[in-house]
Amino acid sequence: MKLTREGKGLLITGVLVAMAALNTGNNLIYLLTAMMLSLGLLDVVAGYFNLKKLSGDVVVEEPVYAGVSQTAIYRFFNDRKHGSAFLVSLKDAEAGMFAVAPLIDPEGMMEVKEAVTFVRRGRIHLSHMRLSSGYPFGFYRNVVKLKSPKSFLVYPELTDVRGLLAGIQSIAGSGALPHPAGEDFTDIRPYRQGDPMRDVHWKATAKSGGLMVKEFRAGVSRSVTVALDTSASATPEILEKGISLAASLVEVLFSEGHPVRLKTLSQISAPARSREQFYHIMDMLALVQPEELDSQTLNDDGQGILLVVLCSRESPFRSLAQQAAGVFDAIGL
Amino acid sequence: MQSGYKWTLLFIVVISHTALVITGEMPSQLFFLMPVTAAGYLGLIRGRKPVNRILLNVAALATLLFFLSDMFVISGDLLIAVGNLTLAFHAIKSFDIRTPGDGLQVFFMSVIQLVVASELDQPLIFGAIFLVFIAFSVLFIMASHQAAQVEKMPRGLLKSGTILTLVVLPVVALIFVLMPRGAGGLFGSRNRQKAMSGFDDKVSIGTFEEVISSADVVMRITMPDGQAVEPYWRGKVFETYEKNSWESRWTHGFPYRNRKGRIQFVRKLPKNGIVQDVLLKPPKSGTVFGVSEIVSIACDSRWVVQYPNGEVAVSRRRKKRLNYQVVSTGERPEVRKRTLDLYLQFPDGMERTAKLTETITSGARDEAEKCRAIMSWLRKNCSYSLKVPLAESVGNPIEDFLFHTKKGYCEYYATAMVLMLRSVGVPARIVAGYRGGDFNPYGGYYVVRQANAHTWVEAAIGRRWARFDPTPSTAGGSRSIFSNYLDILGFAWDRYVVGYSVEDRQTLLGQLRWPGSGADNAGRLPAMAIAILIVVGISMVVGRMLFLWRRKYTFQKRMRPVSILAVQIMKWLARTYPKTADMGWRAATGKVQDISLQTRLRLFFEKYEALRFGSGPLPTKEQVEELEELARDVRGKNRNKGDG
Repeated sequence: MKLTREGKGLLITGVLVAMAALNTGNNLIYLLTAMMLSLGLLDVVAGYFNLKKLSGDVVVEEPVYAGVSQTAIYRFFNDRKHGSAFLVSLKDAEAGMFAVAPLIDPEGMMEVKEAVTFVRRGRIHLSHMRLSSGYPFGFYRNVVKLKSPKSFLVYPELTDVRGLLAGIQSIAGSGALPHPAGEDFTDIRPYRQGDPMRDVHWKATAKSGGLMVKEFRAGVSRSVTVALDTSASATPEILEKGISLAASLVEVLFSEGHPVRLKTLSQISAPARSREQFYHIMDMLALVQPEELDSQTLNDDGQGILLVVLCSRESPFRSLAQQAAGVFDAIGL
Repeated sequence: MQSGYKWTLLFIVVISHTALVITGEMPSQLFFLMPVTAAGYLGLIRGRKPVNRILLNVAALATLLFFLSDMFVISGDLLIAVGNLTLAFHAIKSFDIRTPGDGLQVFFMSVIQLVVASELDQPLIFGAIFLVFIAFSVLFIMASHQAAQVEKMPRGLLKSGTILTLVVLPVVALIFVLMPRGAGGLFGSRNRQKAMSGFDDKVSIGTFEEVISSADVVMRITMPDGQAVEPYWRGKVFETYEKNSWESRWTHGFPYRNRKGRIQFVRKLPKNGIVQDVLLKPPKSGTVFGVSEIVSIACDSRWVVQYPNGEVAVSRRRKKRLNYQVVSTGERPEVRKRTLDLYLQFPDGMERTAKLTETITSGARDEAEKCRAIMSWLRKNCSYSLKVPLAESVGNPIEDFLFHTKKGYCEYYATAMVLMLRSVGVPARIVAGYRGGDFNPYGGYYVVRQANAHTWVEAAIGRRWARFDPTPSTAGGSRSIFSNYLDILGFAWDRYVVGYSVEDRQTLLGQLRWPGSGADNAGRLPAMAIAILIVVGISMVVGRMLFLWRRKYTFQKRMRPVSILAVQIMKWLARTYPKTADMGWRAATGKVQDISLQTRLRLFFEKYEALRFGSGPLPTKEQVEELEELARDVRGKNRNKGDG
């Protein structure tokens, strides 16, 4: 239970009025003191019952990219048989998420959609998500912690890198084409956000009840390896810029049909031919931290085009840069 | 912000301003600010933008400077200065309400305004004002909190606010009754309330007129034993007449320390003592009023003083209502022979009066006959009037009354008689108190007003002081039933709200015993516990009945549109597919060959069944609208609309 600013106002005024009552012995001032005490008391009691048997959760539409406004769906559940709940909020101050449900009917559920923007990449644990209410008077806020907090990944912020890629001959000339009409697909999988509607497999959709899409084998495009310098010598700001740049490169290259690989100082991903594999790379980028160099990574001789993102002056990937089709220096960004 | 929030705020401001004005104690110079405040709030309701902050801050600073000068120079009174300050700040703030938090500041300011008002006066109308203020406070604070959270007022919040208002009122009453309290006067306390009753220690001839003309209630007297008494509520006794004024000779009496809450002036109380419960408005002095002769008093004062002339007074820390119980013998006071000379004092220069008295009493054989003769002469030769004509001989109002104007009221009659008696050697004195009063048959008590203020004569006849009232009695008007009931309210307000005391609280807590506890009540439920049980029982039964009635009513109201829709679809189906008539919806749906229609029908009826017979709550408006949508879908209206 937290005292609000209004509650502090009530407390100060109440103390002043009570002092005046004690000093004067005037019963009408005692009556005003009783009124203020009653308001405070009822606020606590009614507030407690307002939150009783209430729960809530939050769903954020994935994928979530840093710096991009996303819709978060806040759900409030009232398991009471009688008595609506009023003015209940779900809030995680650390994640910057907040929504208010004006009314939740008994045995009912209320959904509130609010836009949310995450500033930084990484795993967001909604462990500070609280259900709270100041009903009826707002002098106190009753706060209840959610039992099973959710977590999700925020991918790095994407920037426009098409201009940067345009200068690289090997990529510009090998633009992946959409698969020709009638070409055989290799697999059927559930729909993911971003899949083109023309890839929807309607028969499978009808059978399964959910949208299913066809998956095609990789086209004629050449595979691309994005090598990200994640050395500990990079400053955190530069490293974040580099990660954001790498994520943007991966996203553009994948959307153009290139099988993309990601290589950091100690990890190498499989080439992203499917969207699932693409999200696996984005997961890596969302969680990547400064690393030590693994010799296997340096010796990895991935075929195809190599793009290097450098984040420090003494980067172990400087040697790779000589063979790379393109080098992007995050320090200069 | 919403209009409900703004209107309740305006109402709260109006209430607190009204309370301040009603007291009649505030100087009217700053009342011009009220229309300014009203204009500010009307602007707020109409959605006008708040005024520039710099301008408002300058005004606030000027107000603070004015407050300081008001407190020390202009009015020289803190309470009045604070009252003026709240008026000014209300006016300024009415143009600067940007958030619901600002509204709360206004609410707190209104509370301070009520504090000031209740220190200035405490009339019955304050009961209504406080009641409305508390009710609207609940609604306003709820609306304010809601406005800070969401734009639109959620359905059901108003109902919830009304219920909370009904809950708040008894809770306030309970806390008020049980709250620990003191007698006040801790620091810098100065009661500003007007002294409403009683007499000064010195009464000048000709000052009673203003008092007698007032209809204000002075005291209410309940007589639990219901004895019939002559309603002469004795108060102050005056012995010395000098320079046209009466004064008491006794400045010191015998003090009693009131440790047990009751003082007895005699060893044994009379069997048929007259018990009087008196609630006296703030009196001018500590003198208590009661039928002659007071032998016991119960009150919350620390000291009680009994004077040799029979007058009883209590010590008071501040001018507040006096609530006490006295027991009187109903007998005439005893004469103390040692002090009789005091009652023969006769002013110089009134030989003409003495001569007249000699003539009047020439045939009288004893003191009693002299008294009757003088009283008879006064009643025969003088007439009662509140408007005393200007005297011919300035300086002696009594000789003017006796020889020239022959018009006057009780003060003139009683003074004249006392002086006349003294001139012929009969010890006599003036008694000031109240005569009569309206008996309220509905409340069972006497209402004594300022108009009942009276002076009469006591003459020493034998060993007792005999009462003589030379003033002709004036006809009193009867009170209507309405005014009697209104007075009961006023009595309750004065006694149980304004006059509620530490002793009352202790008495109440003493009565709240656990059922069956206490030596006197072994095995018995105290009356209070029984009353609580009855109230709780009745409340539970009434509550359950209301709940059942509401459930039935709500069920019918909310379920009716659902049932109507189902019937309409069944009829439509029977018309479109006559074979399906008299079939249940499952069978009828099965007969429909159009797969698309079949699906829509199934969807509609499944939804209908869930709403009508499901275990969930009653259908909401949105759910009914959803069902209507499905019904339109079944009948193809939606498609036609879309095609069109």
